Amino acid sequence: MAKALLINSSVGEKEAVQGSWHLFEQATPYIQGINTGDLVENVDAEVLSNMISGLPSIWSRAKVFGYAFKYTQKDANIDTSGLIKFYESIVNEWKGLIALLALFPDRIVLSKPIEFTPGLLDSLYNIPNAFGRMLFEDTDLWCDPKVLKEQKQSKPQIQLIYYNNLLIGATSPYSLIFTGIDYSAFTAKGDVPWFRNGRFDNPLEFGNFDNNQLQKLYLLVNNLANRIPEFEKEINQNREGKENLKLTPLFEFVQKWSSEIKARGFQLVTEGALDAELEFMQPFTQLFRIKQDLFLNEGNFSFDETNGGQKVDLQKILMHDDFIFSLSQVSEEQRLETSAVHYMTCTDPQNANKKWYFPIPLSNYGLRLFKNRVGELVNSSLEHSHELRASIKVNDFKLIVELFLIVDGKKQTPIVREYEIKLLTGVQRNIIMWPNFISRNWNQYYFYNEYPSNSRDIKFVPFYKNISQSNGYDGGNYIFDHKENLIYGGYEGYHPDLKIEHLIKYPVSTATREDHPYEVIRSNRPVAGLELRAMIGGKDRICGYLIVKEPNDESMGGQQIYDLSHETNFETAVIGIDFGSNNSCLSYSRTNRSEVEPIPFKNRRIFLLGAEIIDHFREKTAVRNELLFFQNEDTANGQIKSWVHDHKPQYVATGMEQEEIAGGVPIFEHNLVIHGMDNRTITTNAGILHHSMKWLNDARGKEKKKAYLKTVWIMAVADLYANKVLANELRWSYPGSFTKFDVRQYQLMYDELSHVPIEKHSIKVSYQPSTEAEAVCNYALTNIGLDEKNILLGIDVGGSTSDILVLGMDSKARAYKLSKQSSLRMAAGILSEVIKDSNAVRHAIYKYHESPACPIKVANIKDITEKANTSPFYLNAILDRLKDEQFRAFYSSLAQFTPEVFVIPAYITGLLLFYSGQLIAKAMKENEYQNVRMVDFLPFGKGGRIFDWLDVFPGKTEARNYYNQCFKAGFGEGSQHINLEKKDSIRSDNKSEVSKGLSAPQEVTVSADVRENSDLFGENGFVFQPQNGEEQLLKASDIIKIEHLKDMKFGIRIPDKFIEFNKFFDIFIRFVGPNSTGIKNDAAQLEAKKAQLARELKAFILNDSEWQKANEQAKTGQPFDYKHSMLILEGMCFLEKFIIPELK
Amino acid sequence: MNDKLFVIGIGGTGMRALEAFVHTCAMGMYDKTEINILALDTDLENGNFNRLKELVKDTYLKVKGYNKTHYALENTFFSAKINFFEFCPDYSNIGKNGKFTSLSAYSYASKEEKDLARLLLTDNVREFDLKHGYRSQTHLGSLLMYHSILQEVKDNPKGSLSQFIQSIFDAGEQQTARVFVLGSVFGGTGASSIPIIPKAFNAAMNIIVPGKSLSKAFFGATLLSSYFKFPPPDETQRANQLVVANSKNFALNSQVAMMFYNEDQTVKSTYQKFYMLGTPSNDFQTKQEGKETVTGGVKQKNDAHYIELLTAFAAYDFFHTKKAELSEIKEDKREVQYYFRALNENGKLDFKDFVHSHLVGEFMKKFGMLIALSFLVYPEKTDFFAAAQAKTLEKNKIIGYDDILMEEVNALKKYFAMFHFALDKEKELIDGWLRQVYRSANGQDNFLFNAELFSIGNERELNKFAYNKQIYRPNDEKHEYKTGIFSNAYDEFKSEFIKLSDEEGINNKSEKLIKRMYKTLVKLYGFEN
Repeated sequence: MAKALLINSSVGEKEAVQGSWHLFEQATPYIQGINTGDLVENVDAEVLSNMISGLPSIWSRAKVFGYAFKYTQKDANIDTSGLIKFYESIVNEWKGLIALLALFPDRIVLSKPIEFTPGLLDSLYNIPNAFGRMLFEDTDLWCDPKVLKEQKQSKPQIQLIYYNNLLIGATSPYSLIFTGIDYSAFTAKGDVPWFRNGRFDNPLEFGNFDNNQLQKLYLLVNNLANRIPEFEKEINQNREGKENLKLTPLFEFVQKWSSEIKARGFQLVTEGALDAELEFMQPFTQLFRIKQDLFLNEGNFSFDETNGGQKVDLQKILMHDDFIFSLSQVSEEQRLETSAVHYMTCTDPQNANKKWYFPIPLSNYGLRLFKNRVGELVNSSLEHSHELRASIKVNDFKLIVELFLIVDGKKQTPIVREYEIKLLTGVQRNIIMWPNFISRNWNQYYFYNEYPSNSRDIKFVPFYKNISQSNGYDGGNYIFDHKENLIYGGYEGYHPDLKIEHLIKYPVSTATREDHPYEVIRSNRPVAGLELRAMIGGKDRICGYLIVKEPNDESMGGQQIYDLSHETNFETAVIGIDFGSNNSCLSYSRTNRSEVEPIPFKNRRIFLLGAEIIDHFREKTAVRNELLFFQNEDTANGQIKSWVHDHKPQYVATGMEQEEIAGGVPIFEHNLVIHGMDNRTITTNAGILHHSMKWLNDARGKEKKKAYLKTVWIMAVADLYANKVLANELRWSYPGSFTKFDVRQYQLMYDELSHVPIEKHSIKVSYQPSTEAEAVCNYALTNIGLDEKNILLGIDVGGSTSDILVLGMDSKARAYKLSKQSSLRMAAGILSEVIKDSNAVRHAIYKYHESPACPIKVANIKDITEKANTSPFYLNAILDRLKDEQFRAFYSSLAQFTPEVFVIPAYITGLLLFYSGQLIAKAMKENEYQNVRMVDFLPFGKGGRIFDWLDVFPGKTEARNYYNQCFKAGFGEGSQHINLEKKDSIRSDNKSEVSKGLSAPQEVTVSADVRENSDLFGENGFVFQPQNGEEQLLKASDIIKIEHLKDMKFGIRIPDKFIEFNKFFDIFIRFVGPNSTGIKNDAAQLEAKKAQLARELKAFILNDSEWQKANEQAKTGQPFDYKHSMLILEGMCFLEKFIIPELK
Repeated sequence: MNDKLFVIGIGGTGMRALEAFVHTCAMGMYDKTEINILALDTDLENGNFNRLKELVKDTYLKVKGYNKTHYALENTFFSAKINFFEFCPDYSNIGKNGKFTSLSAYSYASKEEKDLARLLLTDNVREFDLKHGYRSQTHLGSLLMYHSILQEVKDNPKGSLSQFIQSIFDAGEQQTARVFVLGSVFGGTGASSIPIIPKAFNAAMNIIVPGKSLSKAFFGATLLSSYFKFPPPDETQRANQLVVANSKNFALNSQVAMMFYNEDQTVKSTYQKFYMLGTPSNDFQTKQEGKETVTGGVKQKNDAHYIELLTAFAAYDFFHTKKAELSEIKEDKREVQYYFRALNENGKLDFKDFVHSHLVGEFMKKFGMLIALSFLVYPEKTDFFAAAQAKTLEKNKIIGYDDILMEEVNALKKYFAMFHFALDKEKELIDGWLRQVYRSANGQDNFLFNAELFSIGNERELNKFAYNKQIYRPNDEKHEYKTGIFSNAYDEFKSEFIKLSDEEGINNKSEKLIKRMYKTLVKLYGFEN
């Protein structure tokens, strides 16, 4: 016998007879024993690489994994110094990969199946096709066997396995899975201690597994052991005569390993699920699908299907994406525990005093399961409650989340997932919802979001709950579409019960870095929560949920959300709206009650992210969310500013320009950063703020007014609803000087408010609105008593109009009668204009603000000294907030530094009272008020305080005398029997009079004649020259008519002297002159200008914007609709042309 | 022999195995046989590849007739008719430096496609320069060789490779096509290519003539495991070239490859016979100069080894296997059969170690006579062939060979320089193939022939050497001839030559002369013709 001419093997020298070729049998042990020296005693990268590269197939890596199980099952006598050592390391690598899949399935991503097309020869070296060609006789093994059986063209395919984006392996029929040739970049920082020397090693030896981990590994390996025979059968079904691929060595190995794991653990069971689904393609799917069917019935989980209920997929409960954002507490006063949303919290592992806050890492599916009990998951530590626990892995900056479920009463091995913690960059922004209640009967909710849902970076996307189905456990279910996908704010999806509209849409495609990111969404169902999404690695990923707490959740303290669905016994009420030029006011009166109450405009904002501005002293400058969304300032007496803040036009969703919030936001804030101001707008740091809108009739002006009214209206209705009051009527008023056209425009606007967001409820809008004077009159009667000896004179001084009413007692009719009402456009706004032009006054105001006497702080008020055009804003900011006696100090301060400014209140008040004298004289004559001896004078409105200035300087007595002189001069003959007495008793309702008068029970009789024919011409000596008519000399007591002023060129002749005006002016000049109060030392100079008035008057009227407006309307065929007391026009002209310029 | 034979040598070892094979043809082991030889390498500059081409093109084919039609003859040297084909994928023209990445347009591939490549190939393997072959990276090499074959027949349907494949197809249609593949399983190109050759040729045939395959051809191959070593690469070389073969891994590579052949269903079903060969240790150091590992190129000219001669006789065995046996393996067993040989433990190689016992005499005769012929051709003084052509032997009445072309004269001389020995300027002997093979068997009298034969070191010793008596081992059956007192072996040969006549039917004077010399030698050495 001779020695075989073969490479040396430890199995022994093969012997045979020389002289011929012998059949070689029993190759396997011989190959196992080939002596390769000590190369693989220490398997290094070169050796490993050589092992693979020595196998002449591009699929060598996959093949060696297949061979490994066979060649490591060897006869103990074979010395396996070479290849078998390598295969042992391959088997350990395989085990390591399996352990990785079992323990961290959430970090595993499987590629889509990559198909090979071997037959496509066009581009020979195309990687998948070239590789696929090299499968040769094994091609069928790499196909989906079921598809191949039916369609012979089925292509072989492979799925790549990634761990945290690192390619680590792939599928293979030979060994189910295999590791890639080089994944040495794998980093797990301690999670995967069995990754050693650049590759996986035996996990049981190096893994330090706890019992939970062993349990999970056992679940997977046991499943493999159970399913490999079936898999083998399946992949061999298309062999067509070729030898079957035998997986027996693999099967036997896995069985053995499974037993080893079981022995290592404690009470390991075969029921359970991995933390996430491993989405392997067919035919691998079942091998790696480790899950236990669960059934959810009325909130309880069971393994037992016979208990009924919904089948639950455990692996889908936790969030699938790999990132979670840490959210910060921005206000110590508003701790996130008391926030309106549930957070998942955990303590910093390195600092027990520090807490971390995260959105809840449930999936869409998880939300569907737990519904309104999500909060219990993160706030429970009870032994018998489901629980979501979080902990931080410091070194990796990762969050470990464990979901413990109670199944059949027993707490289960947790489903665990790990998320990379991300931080919100920049200042954390705000997300607010409004109002602070929900109800199945309330169907308008608003959502302000500074992480807009169309952002390209981080976004919080709202979803909704359908409280209309509220009933027991199912109450508050989130709204899904028919495919069971959540419906998100402003996005895809449809549900018949859900209406979502973007009012403000972030113009993401054109926005610059300077543009504030925000959106406002209106919906008919309340926001249930927010889905946090972020663009990471070029992909939009879901990074957790903020779930709105359930109504009455006590953890929110005083800021709870209320569910008014089950409230009954709502009262009804009338709301009165007084829309003024600078200030507005809303009041209401409950049906069958006489009390009139202000709308509180309570702050109903609920912060879902960020924190409300706490500003007890109202000194903080308004931030964006206070200028772009519902207000947070409670108001006194239902009074609010008539200011509306614009959004930039590109933000306003198409068609929403007139809608609440979208068309503009009513601003109650006083502390704004003002960049500039004109007679219509204020430029703030956040955009344009419109004021003095009352008289605007152009399209944009109407839009602004409509948006303003709609917004304050919804706030008022919400306020009432929250107090179990249903508004059922809206009353509104207008200045008597409004044209009919103006009134009709307002009527149309108010009609739109008839719809309120309350199920099956609408509002009656008054179709016969009151004039403001009538409303005030009604209010006055709730406070003042009248008898035949006195008569009531009310002057409601607004920003742009002053409305005069004369109320007497009609004994015959046994009713109070509004005898005269007049609306004049000489009002408090003039004062603002004067101050704007006077450097001295502006400095005086600033000095007052800085003095101890000033109880309030207005941010940035120093601007008043430098930016003249901002002065009206700052003046109002002060006047709006002073109370009662505090005004005296303010007037006093001004008197001290700029006494000459008192010329203005003296002039305005005197002239108004002069004209009032004319009115009352006529009223008494017409109504035979023969016994009247006293005129009770009530100044109303914010501007009504102009009558208080002179009480401070020069003093109450001087003021009283002056007012009486003016009044009597106007009254004329018989005035010696009658006195005027200013009443200050109702000043506490200052500015609320109109709205209260509107909403109060109506006690006053109003006649159309009084409404139409009260205003007096007020001056003598004018000659009316009607076209084709006779000239008429007009008297002061004549009723002024539209035609008197229609043709200013030829229709009226102006006298050289203005007798009535001069009467007033003489009194005025005496009062302010050096011989009296000394307010104006050079009064003589002013008096000299009197003669010039006749020349200026016509031009003044022709330049009056309201006259021009009427003239323009007339040109379009509409009626010319302008009338105004000539006396007051004379006064306004003189004021503008001669008095104000002197004050500069 | 009626069957058309196809021999493919692949890679460095394949080239040397082909060298051995060609020498067996020169011995006359393949009488009346037409053999198609394909030399397949990835390294155009490879020394072994060039040496083979020299051997075939510059010697064998020219000896058979320069610019003349060749015929298969019998009972002579150079009896087999050889058709020589070659194919070498040229990676230097593809992309940057002929890397896999440029070949596969890697940079244009999708992420998934790139990842698929990254799954199976390391960065270095994807990036190394393919100019010098596959450098033991057989996983990549198999893919590249397969596709380069397909690419070649697509691009060059009338080219050498296409013709070779077409010939296999034609042979299969007419009689039986037998294809034998020579190469190693532990190196680069050969190891990469052996498994895929049948599949690649089959697919290529389908490209040459759509719908046609090589289903009727039989395939055999050597599974040649490690048998030599060379200096290991240093770090600088590794860094520069990314991938360098290291002979220390040859045993390991062999084991991995053997495993593959033992398991892979594709290989097992496409081949019928594998001849396993290897040495128990791979301590045979190739006689290369310098310390640097030679990855390929002109410097890679490894010495011949007796195991390569064994591969040639593996091919011989395959070609002489009964068709019925091959058919049975192919159709019924459907799994390749493995064969091995055994050698005497004393390390001595005998003729029976190469061929079946019934062929021992034939082999001994033909190999010995070719050696004897080398003494009658190479040395100037005893260059009978050249003298016959130059009419310098007219005095010996040896005439009629003057129309042998000088190219043929030179070719034969060169052949023997390559086969046996040559003389350098210092008249020192340069080892030819035979002497290298002898050395690989550890010298002494380990290799078939008389150790004295291999002791010649220079011209003086050469002139003294009694090739009439000292070719065969002393203990072997005596095959020698005597000389007179005043004559020498050369004179005796001439005398005997004159006694024989030229063979009829051979037109080519060169072949005619060679056959007559063959017959003379056979007679002189006492062999049966």
